[in-house]
Amino acid sequence: MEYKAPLESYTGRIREVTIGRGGKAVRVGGSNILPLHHFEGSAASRPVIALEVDDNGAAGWAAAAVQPFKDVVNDPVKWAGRCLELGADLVCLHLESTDPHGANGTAAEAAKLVKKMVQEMDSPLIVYGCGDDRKDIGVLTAVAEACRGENLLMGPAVKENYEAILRAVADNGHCIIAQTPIDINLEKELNVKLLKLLPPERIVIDPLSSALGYGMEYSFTIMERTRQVGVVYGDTAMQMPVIADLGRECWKTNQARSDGEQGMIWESITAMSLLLAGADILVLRHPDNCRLLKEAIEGKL
Amino acid sequence: MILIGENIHIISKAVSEAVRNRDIAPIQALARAQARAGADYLDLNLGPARREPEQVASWLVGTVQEVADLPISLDTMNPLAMEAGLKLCRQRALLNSASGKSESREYMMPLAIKYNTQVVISVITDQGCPPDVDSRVESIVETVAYANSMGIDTEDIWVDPIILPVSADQKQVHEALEFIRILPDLLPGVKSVVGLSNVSNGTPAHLRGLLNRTYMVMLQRNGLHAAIADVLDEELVELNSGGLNDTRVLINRVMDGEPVDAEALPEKEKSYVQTARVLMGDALYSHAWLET
Repeated sequence: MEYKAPLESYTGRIREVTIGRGGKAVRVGGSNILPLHHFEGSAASRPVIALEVDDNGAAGWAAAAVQPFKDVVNDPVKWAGRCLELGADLVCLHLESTDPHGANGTAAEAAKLVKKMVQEMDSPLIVYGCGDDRKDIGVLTAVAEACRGENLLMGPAVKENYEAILRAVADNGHCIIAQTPIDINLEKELNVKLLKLLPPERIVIDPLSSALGYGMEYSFTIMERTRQVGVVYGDTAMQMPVIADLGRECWKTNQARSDGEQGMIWESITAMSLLLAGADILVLRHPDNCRLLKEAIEGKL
Repeated sequence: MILIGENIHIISKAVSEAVRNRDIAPIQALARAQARAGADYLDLNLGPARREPEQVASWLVGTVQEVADLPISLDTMNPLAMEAGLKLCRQRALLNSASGKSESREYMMPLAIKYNTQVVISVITDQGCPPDVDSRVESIVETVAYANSMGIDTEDIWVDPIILPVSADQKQVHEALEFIRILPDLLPGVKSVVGLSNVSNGTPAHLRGLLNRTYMVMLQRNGLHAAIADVLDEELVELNSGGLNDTRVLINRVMDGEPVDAEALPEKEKSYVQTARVLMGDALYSHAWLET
């Protein structure tokens, strides 16, 4: 008797989100399958890799992660260009300089920088505020206005500040990052709120990524469930692509700090795991891991 | 279904202050209000009762019995408080609760015999709360067999499957429904009881009643015998006594997996349908479940 592989078909489809505009736009999501189950259906876009740029000169970064960029860390535009040369699909800028507990840079300075990057860069841009929910309102609003129409993917919008950030993102033609603390119910709640003003094609879910050994299995479970709920159960409030902003989590571990090679392993294993869990955008720090993950995504590993 | 009024609860600030100051007025007001609202029993929840357990229990039982002619569900994990309270109960009381834990077998179950009470027995064991239907079944069958061997009649046992908040563990909410449905086959003659409001713990306050009421209708349909519940919720009491038939029919249809066009319904019925879907596990819970 001929063997026939058991195949599932699913009812839901992840929405396709476009980041950036024109020829340099990147599309993520769009699949009606569980992660990498290409034999069961179609994935409109493959998962993409972003490399991280820090506008605060890589302060606090492990040496091994800085190495490929050490001559450009004080010039975010050049740093971003290097990321693309080294294989990144797009760039993820973290506005660490705006952290009120650190350099406490102004919203205007941040907006000016992002605008310059968008103009000079040949790639769409992901922009994260510093994560201080009050400071982020001013910073992200200024960035959204300065880059009106550029279709950035920006956030994080969290429970405490989503109303203001949602308005700025919606009014200025961008996409939003919906961030919740590793909790599927809170994740859905925030999505429901954002959907009142934005279509699902302009929302990306950030369920928070933890590093290997620091709670990665929780992130894995939430991403896995997110995809199941969206694709298998067809929950329309959960059918957005997922971003795994994991590089920074991996490189701040003791293991990565004490030994660059361990850092490489930490980042690649965490990235590979969250890729399997269903992440559509992986944010990494090291270009060698970017190459490695791209090979995995293209099925060459 | 029997309703056990939950409102005299030590977690309530008004109640804990009244108990501390031995202030009878707020306690008696709550007892009267619940009796008037249609409670069949009054639950007196003392929590762990670490300070003056015996004095507190006897004061509370005495205070309530002065104004309410209802049997008491004495709710504490402290055996000293339990015994002191049971001694004073004029009507046959409900000991709330015993469990499969060794200390409960040793100290609580004998009180049910000594004071001829009915007794709530939960699925909890020394290993904690069993995580699924099968392990709940396994634990309760064993604990009930033990209680029987001590001389407690099956008819006097009210099994508590332990209801968890839907905001914390949606799957278990659905599993408890299934547990209640199969219980009569497992342990013929045994009764069942739940702490209903636990299902909505952690949910925004203004939405708790809707969850409680919907879940009650679902449990009731599956054969639940009694619920410790907010009897001051008029709609809950009305649903329990067979009112609001249209709403109950809609909830039943969701339970049976029949298609219901929620959008075509009036706001209130729509919210019951959405809530039933969440409790059945058909839709992922979020605090914004009515907004989708």
